[in-house]
Amino acid sequence: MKSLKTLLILAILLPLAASSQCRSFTKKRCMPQLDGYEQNDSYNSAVFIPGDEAELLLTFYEGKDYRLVVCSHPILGQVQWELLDTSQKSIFKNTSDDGTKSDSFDFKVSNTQQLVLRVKVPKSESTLIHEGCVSIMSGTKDM
Amino acid sequence: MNITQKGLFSLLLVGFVGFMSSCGDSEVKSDGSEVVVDDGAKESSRSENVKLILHTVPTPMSTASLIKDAGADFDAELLSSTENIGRFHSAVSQSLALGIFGADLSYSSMFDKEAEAIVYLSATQKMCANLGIEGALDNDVFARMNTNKENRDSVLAIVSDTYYSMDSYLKDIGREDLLSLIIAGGWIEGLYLAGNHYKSNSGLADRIAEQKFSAKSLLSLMESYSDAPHLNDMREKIGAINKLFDKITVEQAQTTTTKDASGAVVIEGGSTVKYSPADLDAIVAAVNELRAEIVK
Repeated sequence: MKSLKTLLILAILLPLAASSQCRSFTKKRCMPQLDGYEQNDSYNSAVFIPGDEAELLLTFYEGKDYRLVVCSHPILGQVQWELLDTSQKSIFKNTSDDGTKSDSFDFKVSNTQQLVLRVKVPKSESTLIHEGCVSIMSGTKDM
Repeated sequence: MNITQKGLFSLLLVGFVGFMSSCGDSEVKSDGSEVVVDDGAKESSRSENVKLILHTVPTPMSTASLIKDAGADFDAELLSSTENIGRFHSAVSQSLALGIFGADLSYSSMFDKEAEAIVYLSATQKMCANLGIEGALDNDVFARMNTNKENRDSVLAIVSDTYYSMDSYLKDIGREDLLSLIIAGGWIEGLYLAGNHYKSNSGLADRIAEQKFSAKSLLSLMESYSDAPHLNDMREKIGAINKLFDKITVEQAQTTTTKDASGAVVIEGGSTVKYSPADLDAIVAAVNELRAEIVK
């Protein structure tokens, strides 16, 4: 009976551990990339599969230095993200023509801006579909 | 097997099935024990692609930072009362109050008021306990706060971590409905604090008017839980405040990107808000009224 109780406790606790998949990933792998910046938007993290897309409207206030971080699990491959203005004009892409990739973008705004962040997970040829976390964070520091 | 054993076995089976369906990755250590590899990836049970529209609302720390940057002074009279926390009975009122205490914690920390910050951290912890979400806060948060109370940057980082922990914890346990109320409470308190500073600090006027953007995001967030009837009342009230923000117009200039002397990227252009003092007064009055209703 005692071992049954132990098993029961484990069986109840283990799903909770698994459900904190993105929280743990974000805390360990992504938040260090905002070091020196104060996180200034609510927590945005979601589980993606190859081919998924996401959009997020962000407000940036004048007088601040910003760092925008899009942190994704390597199993998703080269996740592409782009910052656009509200007329869909591209401001920044994380992948360049020479193949270099960036997980973050540091910038200032001279005036308050609303910008759109678009994230795309590349499609996969694999028959086995893996899912992974993508976390979007922005932080500020005083100029 | 007696009744108790049968019940226990059923629970065990449910828990085991839950574990198998939610966890794809584990590894067996050399001593034979199994550990969950919580690295943010696993095999998916989903095959259809989705386009996610995510909603983001500024944290209370962000709003407190706008108040401080505008040159406003700390005003302890504006803080909410932490007396008789038991007056918040329902999960809705407790969640809204938790958001308000979190915003007061951010405001106090931003202005280096350690004593007040500890009071609001304690109130936040008690309210989490009342809501049954004690796991949302790290156990060592008070020890870290006490150890670092002389270091403003550390205190701000601890408060930001606390907010993040609560935010991510509620998403993990599937209580985004409560989270949207906590975010609403924090947003209302942040706007209340800014609104009561702006009469003596005109630099805050534009920042308040620019909350038109976050007001819309907050409403979208709350509307995304349209199947949660307990959010109806607050959704309607945030909708009414949005209508007041509709009077504020936005002029959009073309965006350009340059680099400053230090080589940093500067995005120019963007939004300019247009409003009359009466527009802002109406918003501040409505926010004050809603906030008073929540904290009564």
